[in-house]
Amino acid sequence: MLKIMLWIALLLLSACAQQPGKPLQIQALEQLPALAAEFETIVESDGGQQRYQWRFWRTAKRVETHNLQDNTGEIWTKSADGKIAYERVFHDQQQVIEYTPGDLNAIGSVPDWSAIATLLNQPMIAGLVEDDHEQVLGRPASHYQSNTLEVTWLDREQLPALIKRNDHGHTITTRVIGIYPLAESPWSYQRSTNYRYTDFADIGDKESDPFIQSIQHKIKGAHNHSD
Amino acid sequence: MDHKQFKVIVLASLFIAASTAQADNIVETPDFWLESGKRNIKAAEQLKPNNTYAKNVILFVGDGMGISTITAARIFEGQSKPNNRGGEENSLSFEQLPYLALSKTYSANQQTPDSAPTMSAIITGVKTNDGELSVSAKLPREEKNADVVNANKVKTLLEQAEEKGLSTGVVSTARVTHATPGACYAHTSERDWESDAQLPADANVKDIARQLVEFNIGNGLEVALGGGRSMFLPTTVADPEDTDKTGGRKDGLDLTKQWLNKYPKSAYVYNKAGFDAIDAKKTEHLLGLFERSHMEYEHDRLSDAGGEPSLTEMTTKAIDILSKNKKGYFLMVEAGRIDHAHHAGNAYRALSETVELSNAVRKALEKTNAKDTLIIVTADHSHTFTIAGYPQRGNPILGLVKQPGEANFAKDKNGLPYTTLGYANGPGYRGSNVRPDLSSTDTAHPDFLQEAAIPLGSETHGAEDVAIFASGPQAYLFHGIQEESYIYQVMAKALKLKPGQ
Repeated sequence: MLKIMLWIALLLLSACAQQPGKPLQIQALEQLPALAAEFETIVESDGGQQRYQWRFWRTAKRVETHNLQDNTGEIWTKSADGKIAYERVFHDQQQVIEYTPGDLNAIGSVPDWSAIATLLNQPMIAGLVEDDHEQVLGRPASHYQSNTLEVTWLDREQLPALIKRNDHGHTITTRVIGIYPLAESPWSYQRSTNYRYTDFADIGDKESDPFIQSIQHKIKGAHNHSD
Repeated sequence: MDHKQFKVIVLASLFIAASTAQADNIVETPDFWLESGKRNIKAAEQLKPNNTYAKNVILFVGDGMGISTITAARIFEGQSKPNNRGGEENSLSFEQLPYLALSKTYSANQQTPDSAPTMSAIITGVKTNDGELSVSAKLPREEKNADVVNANKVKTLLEQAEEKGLSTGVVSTARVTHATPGACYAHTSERDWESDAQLPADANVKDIARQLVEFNIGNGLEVALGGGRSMFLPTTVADPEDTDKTGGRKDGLDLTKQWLNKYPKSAYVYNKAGFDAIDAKKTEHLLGLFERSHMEYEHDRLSDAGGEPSLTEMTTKAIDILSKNKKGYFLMVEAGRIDHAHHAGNAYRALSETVELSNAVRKALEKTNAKDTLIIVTADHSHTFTIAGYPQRGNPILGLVKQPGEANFAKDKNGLPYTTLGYANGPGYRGSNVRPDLSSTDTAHPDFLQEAAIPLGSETHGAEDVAIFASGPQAYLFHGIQEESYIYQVMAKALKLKPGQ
């Protein structure tokens, strides 16, 4: 009898050992908590290291980022019918380039709200397997790993605390350095009403506008279907 | 050529088109070409200049609709028809108009122009500088002093028509305050000053939206349909469709209310339901603003939350309202988003917008009489859009080049296939390395960007001549290669107006 029990116990242990870790699952997008966070991204290569900080604000219908290094940002908004619009914000110049959903379609850009709101797209999530639990900034988090990616996921906040990946000889590490419920955010994303708005569709007619000339290389207008 | 003759020719050409479409057993023998050539000669011989004055003038402008765009749109539409012979034999509605000329589009200061000076030339007969609307080229761009701007105003055909008691209207799929419609009723040194929010603090010129609503020549514009709601609503008023956004005016003016207060029997609508409910018989002044900014592309229109009328539907409603005036009318209709699609490097949308312009022209031809209505279809400028390679007959116009008799796609020097359509510059640039392999890419997808040779965030205009198609009174005056400003001369002559006065 003891031998049989020992054999069952060994079988269970071996089954547990062979069971793969849990994949990363994002909860319903409508239920993602509204929050503000600050991240630091470090890009390392043989040539050295680049480091920059950026902020992130999220509600159910709106995501904004603000790169503190070049003082630019991005805003994504989702309408009631699920269409996504985009704004590229240049704070120093107080200028905004607006993209309607139709503009985004016309440049072959298909925005993925899940990726915008969680910083992880489906191909990144696909290979991740949970291998540990930890605390980040006093919050419970789960650690996931794949062949190319390492993610620490804040379970309650539904946001990565760490994304580390190797890409074309670069190691890119993004780490959360502050996180707050949106209502308690120390950083406001309210802008002055003096910002000038330009439709993306109108950029082609502003060939002599010095601002438009200066940001040509920074704006969305790419050829692939996923940016 | 009188109306009857014109209709006979149009019907004959439609019959020929229908016959060829139905007869899938047509073989393009030498006899076929000789016979169809003879028929076309006969039709040409029957053309008689209509030297009478016009009661009405309808000016269609395909913004950025260069000749390569017309050719590609013709094939694009043709390939969607049953029993086509490849699509190349198709004709857009306006390609069947009897008179044709080419237009030189350069502006007073640029070889390759933008829409502001080109439309100014078309509607005033005077070329001006890029970015300026219906003012003389002496006026510096961004002149803020209203007195200086007023001193350099150049009268528009729409203003002259109003002075003569005609009804007038502008229709556009772009904002009604955008350069092409704006040049018809506004005078400004800067096309971007569409609302007061864009005006410099020390400027005392009126913004373009305000000039539209406060237009006080004759009895004011009867019809203004298009996009651009944010230019008319104040920042304190929520947008009726995108309720999380507001109007863009900082001066607190609600110009839609001003429109309603100014005109008896007037209406303001902002969606398809409101538009459909308008009774043209009972409405004298209609303002329709169907988007905060530009209207949707025709391809995306049906998925718009608020609903929008098509260019054809807006043209129809405009004619119904304007044609109540026994003295006649002037209507400008712009397919404004051909240009935007090209700037984005998206051929599918540029071509589908052009086909919709063709539909609107067809409807206008049906609703008017060639005896008394001059219809002109032209473009303000071209784009860097090309149709290239040696594709076989019937090769999908949005597809990869496959040469006659070949089983495989034609290859470039790197052994990679390439599309028939492309751009000289723009967002479709794929990088400085080897071109992408498009073998398994759906290049006919509405969101595919054609390749471009030079990387730019936005594709540019092109400088080559554009076409002018015309029918009706004085249409025969369109011949040869003309300055773009010549279009105004023909319209003014047709309406018995003194040019420039």
